[in-house]
Amino acid sequence: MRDEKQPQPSKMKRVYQGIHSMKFGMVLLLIIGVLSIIGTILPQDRPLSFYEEEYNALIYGIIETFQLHSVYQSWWFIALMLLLSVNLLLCSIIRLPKLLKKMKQEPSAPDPKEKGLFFFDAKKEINREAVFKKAGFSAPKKHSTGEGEVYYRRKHAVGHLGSWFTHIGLLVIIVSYLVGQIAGFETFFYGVPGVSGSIEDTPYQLSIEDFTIDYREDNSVEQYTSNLRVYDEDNTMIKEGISSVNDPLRVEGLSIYQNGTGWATEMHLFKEDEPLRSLTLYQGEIHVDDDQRIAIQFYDFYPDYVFHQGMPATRSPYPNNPHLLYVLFYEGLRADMNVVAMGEEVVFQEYAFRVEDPRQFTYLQIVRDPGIPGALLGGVLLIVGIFTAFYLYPKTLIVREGPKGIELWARAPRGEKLFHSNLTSRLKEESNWE
Amino acid sequence: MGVDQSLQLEITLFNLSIALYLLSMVLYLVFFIAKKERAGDFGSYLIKGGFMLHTVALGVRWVAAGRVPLSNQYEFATAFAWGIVLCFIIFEIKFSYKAMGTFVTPIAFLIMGYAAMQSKDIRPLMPALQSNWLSIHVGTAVISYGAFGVAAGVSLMYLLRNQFSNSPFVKKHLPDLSTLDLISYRAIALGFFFLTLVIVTGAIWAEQAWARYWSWDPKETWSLITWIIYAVYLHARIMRGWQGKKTALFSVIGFICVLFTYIGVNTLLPSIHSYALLLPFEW
Ligand code: HEM
Repeated sequence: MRDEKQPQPSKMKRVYQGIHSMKFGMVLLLIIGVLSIIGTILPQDRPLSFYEEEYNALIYGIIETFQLHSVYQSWWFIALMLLLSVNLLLCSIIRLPKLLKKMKQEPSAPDPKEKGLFFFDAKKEINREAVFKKAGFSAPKKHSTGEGEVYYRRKHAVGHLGSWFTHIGLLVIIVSYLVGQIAGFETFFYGVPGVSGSIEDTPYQLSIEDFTIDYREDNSVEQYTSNLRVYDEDNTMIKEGISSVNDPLRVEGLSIYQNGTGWATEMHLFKEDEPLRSLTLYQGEIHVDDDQRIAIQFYDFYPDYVFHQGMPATRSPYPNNPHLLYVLFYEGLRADMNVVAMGEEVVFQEYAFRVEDPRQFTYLQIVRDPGIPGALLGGVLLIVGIFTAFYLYPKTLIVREGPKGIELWARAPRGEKLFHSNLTSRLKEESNWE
Repeated sequence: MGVDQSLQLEITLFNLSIALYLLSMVLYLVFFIAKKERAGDFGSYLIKGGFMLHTVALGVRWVAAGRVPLSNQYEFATAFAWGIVLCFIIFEIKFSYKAMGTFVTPIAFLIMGYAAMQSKDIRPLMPALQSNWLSIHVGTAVISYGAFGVAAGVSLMYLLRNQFSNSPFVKKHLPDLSTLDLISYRAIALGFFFLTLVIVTGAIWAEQAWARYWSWDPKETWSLITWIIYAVYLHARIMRGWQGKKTALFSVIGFICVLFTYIGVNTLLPSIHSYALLLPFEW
């Protein structure tokens, strides 16, 4: 039954209270957690046609409507994150004054209803300083009340702010992440040593000076290293350095990552015995020429070629016997596919081609993410906040010397039980505290 | 000592520590069921003995591999079990409830068993894994997952105690609900602090190695889900209506997420953390 005398908060007020409540925050967190599972099961960021082929019409419809092919960039996922941010922001703003007040507040005199830790005979003397010291507190402050002298000391007042810093840290991370998504960019650059060109969407030029791969004895790769130079729009070099795996080259807010490698060869194409074109052909590329009459695809590469069990293969990563697997298209149709050695000529109708000078090229990923400093700051706040919340409990120790005797109170609103058992064992040795 | 001999020594020590963990588990069970205090004491000695041998085994492997032994399924599984036992020993000393052993040692033993089934070869690291951040990242994961393992055991005790609150047997052997809640809370606080370190150091490392500090890779996403579950646990404890049984359930679900993040993601889902389909060309 509703109590008619109690005024109900208005609807607006209830919604507002709901929005900054911890319960709403937890429900949001759980929803975000559960829905993010979708993106770990369903392949992400493929073209829509992939899903159309792979799944039935109903599932495809759901995928398309809710952008499940790109869950973490979908409008509803971002909306949930923004809602969580609003929830955290409001809750943090509302809590701060209360927390600051708690931090500054001097402890009240013990209330008779509150249970003390120890109660002693009034005749007994205690070494107050020693007790506070033993309990891990500095020398006590004092104030007098009607019921006698009260000595107290507080510790870890900052502990009140632990969860607040944690929440702000998370907020900063979410905002920084969204900033990175909106304002960040990514591009790729590849080439053999000697290649230079402009970095897409930036005023900078990049030149690949050298590229090396270090192998171990067992032929596994130890490290890939690109020597790079970066030039600005006036062609002045602004940075020279290396990029290797785990150690990107940083310049002007850009990070250049050693991301991949592959083989490249020089290709010479002839038509009716006349040179038609010479160029560097990269693994995976397809070169189309002469009004699309001829196309040659660099399909695969075998640096140390053997024909093994009916298949081309390589014995080692070293170019001891380099061969290229090409696919040739003639007038739009796939016409020929074969393995060819370096320098060996392949003739097809009026065309001929030859590949030589195999080298490994470097594949670089270039990223700018203006959210990184914020995300890092948020991460630090998160860690410091959590540590503060869990390991710097606000504690108060109070001794009252009054007519009833000497009483000891210990308060730790967030960890009373632990604090009490800890104190009991620490103070047991004080001989006059039986 | 050559690498092969070191590996042999490591395997021997590993097997001995599994054996001691098994014995200790049996003793803790006897303690719990037959209420034999002595059995509990012996269980506690044996697990400490096993832990010492286990520590030496990890050290031997560290020296033999010339790097922190935390970079494949075997190495992580054995370190994971080590972390659980370490946290268990700390919590047993701190709270001195023997019955914890009955619930925590089986978890540690199962993970040791999983480790025993993995390949123990020492392989050289691919370039992306040659980073100090890897050691910090996985090292903190060992402590975090270890603490969560202890918390899961204690939360199971909580659920049992809560379910059979009238059974004199349960009443006699299990600490009261508020104590169990306190122990699992402290274990989760430790685990949560370390899990946050795992995620943050992982992000720093990913930014250097994979160009993105967060790319929603399945392993990352599942560790975030785990983190969320434990965050909800921490708030459920102080939220009206979610306290008690619900809170303990979040702790158990959280540990299932831990196990899935560690084992399930690698075997069931595509991920850069499986180091397979990593980069556009063959690395
Ligand atoms: C993943 C997200 C979150 C994390 C990691 C987090 C972390 C924490 C931590 C570590 C504590 C201290 C708990 C303890 O000492 O046992 C805490 C307390 C608290 N959290 Fe969160 N939190 C998150 C989200 C939220 C949200 C969405 C709200 C909603 C308003 C919220 C409200 C609170 C409140 C009010 C407290 C204080 C409880 C108290 O001191 O009595 N938190 N949080």
